[in-house]
Amino acid sequence: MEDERITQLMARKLAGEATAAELAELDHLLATRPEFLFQAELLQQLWQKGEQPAETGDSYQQHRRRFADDFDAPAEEEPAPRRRYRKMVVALAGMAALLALFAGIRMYRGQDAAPLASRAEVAVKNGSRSSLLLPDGSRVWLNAGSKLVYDYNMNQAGERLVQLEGEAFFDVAKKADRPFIIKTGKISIRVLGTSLNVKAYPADKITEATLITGKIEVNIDDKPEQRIVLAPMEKFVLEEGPAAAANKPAKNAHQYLVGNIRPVFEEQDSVIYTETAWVRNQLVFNNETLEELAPRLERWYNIVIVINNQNAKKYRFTGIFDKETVEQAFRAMQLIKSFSYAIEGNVVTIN
Amino acid sequence: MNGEQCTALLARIYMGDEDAYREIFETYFPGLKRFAASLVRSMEQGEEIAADVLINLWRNRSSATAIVNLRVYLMTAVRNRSLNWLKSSSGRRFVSLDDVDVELSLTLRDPEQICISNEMRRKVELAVQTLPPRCKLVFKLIREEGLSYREVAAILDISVKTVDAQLVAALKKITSSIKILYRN
Repeated sequence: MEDERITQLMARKLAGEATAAELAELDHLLATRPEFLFQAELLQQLWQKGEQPAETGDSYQQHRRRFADDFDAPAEEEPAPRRRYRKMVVALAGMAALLALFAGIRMYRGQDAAPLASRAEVAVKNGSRSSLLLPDGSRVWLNAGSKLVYDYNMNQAGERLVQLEGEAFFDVAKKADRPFIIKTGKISIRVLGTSLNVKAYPADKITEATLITGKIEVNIDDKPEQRIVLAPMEKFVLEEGPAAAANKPAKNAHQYLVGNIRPVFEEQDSVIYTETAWVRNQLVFNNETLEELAPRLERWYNIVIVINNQNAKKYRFTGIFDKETVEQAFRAMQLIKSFSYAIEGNVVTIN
Repeated sequence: MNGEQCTALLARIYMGDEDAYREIFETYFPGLKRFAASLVRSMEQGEEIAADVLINLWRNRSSATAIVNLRVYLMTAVRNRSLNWLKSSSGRRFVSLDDVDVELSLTLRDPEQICISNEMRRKVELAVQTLPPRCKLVFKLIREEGLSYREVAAILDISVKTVDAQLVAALKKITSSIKILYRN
């Protein structure tokens, strides 16, 4: 039923017949049924028209000759050539200007058309999460405020290359001969078929890769000679050292460590890890200061947090949110450490 | 061309202004020719039908101002003329759009431009070729000629709802043909 609705809304969108409400509904459906995103993208591309065969010769003059009796003036010898001529010149100048404009647009578009055409981009806004299936069969969950760029043709290429900004959980389809490479701007991760979580928000000081199953190799872009191989349930953390801020040579700019991940919560059949809980719509934090937690809460709830109380920044929290609203979340945190807060629109001020 | 521009041109045609006729010819002739050719499956015949429809607009210019939507008017005239031609050439007494073996050549962009494989392109083309005639026409008029649901409904003499449903059916067929390909 929903599938049918998605196709219907896609059809209306492509035909230019969709209302604003229908476009919003389509966005919403595609966000909840990300497996349709690839299809939607493809339809959008297929809908774009190629060149119509150009008109040959002057069809109007032919037409006029054919029906010469219907026109007062004969087609070829004009009774008032000068007047007509001037009109033609004006028309031609107009057409030339138009053509030049088109050529300009085409050239401009032509420059970046090639990489753009094969690139697909999926972005998730703050406050929501999404998952999608890549052309190679790998599944990706995208956390709030994240962007993934991949190549439609990844099945044809020797390597399956994706670019990530933000946080994503990857369940990479096994293709022994074609490595899957995740680039984040600071590190690249080489994968052969495995599941892992990568957290690389450009605004964060920390870049993380957590391996759940399989085997991966992490490369730090600044230190190409170093290769870090992770075993399952190991986590790689790259932290921007103070040196990075002071603009010292890149060698000292970053420090990294590798450690084991431990569940924050463990019962018979449910084990929760801070690193991957978001995939199941849970926001989990383990002994984190409010200062560390704030950006995550901001992305999770699509809010802005202003901390005026310097002491509150150091308060530490441990907890799991899943269905809580912003109000409920802050009320719960207030029970643990006493602070006062005010929510106005999407701004939360902590005093 | 928007509605106001059309009304202005039709008013000039009414006054016998050939330049206005030329502008209309140059705007609509290619699309009318393509529409006719897809019905009669002959480029030359399609061209003839489109030319006849346009010259009739000029000949009957004294009633040009009565036309409300010029594009729909011209396309409907092409549809009728094409069906008439099919009727006379096949010797049948009645030809409906459902009997017409509609030809639809897709103007797809080059595979490199939209990054689909040649195989995928063939699948899409095949899927479109095997659509039922009315469905094909709806798809063609909306995608290739950029007409609105309402215009297509008027030209094909069906309801707007049917246009919507037919386009959905066409897209479904296309997506199911490519689904098989990318689920590897």
